[in-house]
Amino acid sequence: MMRRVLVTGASTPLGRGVVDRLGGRVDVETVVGVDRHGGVLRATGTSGRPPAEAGRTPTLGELVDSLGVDTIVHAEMCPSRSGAPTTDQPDVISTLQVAAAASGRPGPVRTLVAVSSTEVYPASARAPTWRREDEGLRPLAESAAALALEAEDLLRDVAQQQPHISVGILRLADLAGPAVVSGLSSLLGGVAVPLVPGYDPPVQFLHPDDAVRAIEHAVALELAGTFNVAGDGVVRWRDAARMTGRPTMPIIAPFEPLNAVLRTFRVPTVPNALIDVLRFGRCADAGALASTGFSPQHSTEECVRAVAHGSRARSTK
Amino acid sequence: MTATADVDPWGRSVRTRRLVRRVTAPVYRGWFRAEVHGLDRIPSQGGALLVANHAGALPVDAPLLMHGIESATGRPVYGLHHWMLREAPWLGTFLARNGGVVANPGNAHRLLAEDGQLVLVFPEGTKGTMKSYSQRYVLQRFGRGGFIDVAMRAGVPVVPIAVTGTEEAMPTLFTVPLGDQVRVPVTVNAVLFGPVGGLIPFPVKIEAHVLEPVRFDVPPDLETYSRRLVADGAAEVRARLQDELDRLVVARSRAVVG
Repeated sequence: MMRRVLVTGASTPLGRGVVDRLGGRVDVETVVGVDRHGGVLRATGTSGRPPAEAGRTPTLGELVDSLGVDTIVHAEMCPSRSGAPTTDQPDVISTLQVAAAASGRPGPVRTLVAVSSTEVYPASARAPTWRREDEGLRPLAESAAALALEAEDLLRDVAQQQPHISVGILRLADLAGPAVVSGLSSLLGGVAVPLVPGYDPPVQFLHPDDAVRAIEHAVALELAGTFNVAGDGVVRWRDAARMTGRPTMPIIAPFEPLNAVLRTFRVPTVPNALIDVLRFGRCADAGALASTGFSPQHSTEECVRAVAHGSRARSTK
Repeated sequence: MTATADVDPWGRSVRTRRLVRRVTAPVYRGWFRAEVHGLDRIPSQGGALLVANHAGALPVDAPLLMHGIESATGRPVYGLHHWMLREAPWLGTFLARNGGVVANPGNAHRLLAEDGQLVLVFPEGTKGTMKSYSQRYVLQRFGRGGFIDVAMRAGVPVVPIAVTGTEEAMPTLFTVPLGDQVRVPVTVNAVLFGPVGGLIPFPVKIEAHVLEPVRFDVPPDLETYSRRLVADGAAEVRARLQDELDRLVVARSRAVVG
């Protein structure tokens, strides 16, 4: 059966990669990429045109129905990675729209693959070194982790209420590559690499290409359940800093109120959630996804080298 | 490769361990005259949960056991410790480099079942190290028996190890509460030699006796293990350890000199 795929977050590098990748598959007839505001950005091989009603853009549900979409890739969910909570909660709202598009009366959707992040595992001294999908998570109030978990729960509800839809949730490790950097990996690309004195935690990255491949894998196999996705191996934060060839900068006072003041003066700060990562690390056990037949092509160390290389290339331009 | 490439994902460094063992060796032999008996009872391969009694305000049992077993068997030993130690800067990193891992079921299971390592645990936890000298060689509560559940799930034997001498190395007179969470032990060492000199344990003879491994007749990787099985297992390990401690303490002719 030829598949018709709708991709949210198509204006992000990850979403663009997914649209391109899925568009190249022989079993995919149509790929429609939509951005945050519901605008259709990319459409390959569309047979039916999206309804262009005057005055308003169609809702995701209307798009899904009019195009006969059987697969939704929710690539927009991936949090901002700043570690700080955002007031407009874009991840949760967009996920609500996806959940709405997939549920309700029996529609054409059979497969839903959503992008979450390993940020749902707050770094702490008490937590297991390797985080697994079945870990009982009690999110901290008002955190990016809590919002990501809330968004995941919305989709798990879809899986429960619509048994004919297979819902796969991919918790991506921090993306790090030549161009895409986010959260933790962006700390490697600045003027100096921050570190917390006395700590040298193991960290983990995922290459954006592998993120796209993992999403394709989940779409192709119609994976159901929650899966960690990460590059092989871990890197010590100090080693990562060394590989970038940049100086390190110790963080002395990780106080959020102080950070808020600094941010108002546009001084870059490291949010508390990331400071805990710089103390205790965050490693996800990607064994469950591996057992479905997926293996990343880039190790964590290669990701760090890619960030180092990419940011050097940019700065010499 | 990079400078700390010999650090494994748990944070243990082969190089640091080698260095620390070199420093520990004279202390092990000269200061404590430490001996580990029954080393052949420690499996030469595969995971095993080493369970020992815990004593002394600054417990020397962990580093001495790890040193003795690693030196004799050539196998790395990972020691489970309280998560609060990981929060302390430098100390947490130092412990990790030496095979220290935060004690929780997830970490223990992975070390035992997937990595097939030797894991040392003190089920008494801080109740062992914070008890007063009058309670010496009396095993405290074994937590909630979680270590038995972990061993069953991983399908590995529990190897009890009875350690003597450690209670006399740094006897606690009483503890002073510092806030809600922390209690500070007042030791004989500290009374005699002050807060800094008090950090040095007395040069008592320390002996460890490895007991016959306890194997559980249950399949690994079950969803749950009955509370009865776990409780009975914990009670059995605890009783064996207590019996051996009672026997050893009576048998010691000259308790601390040796």
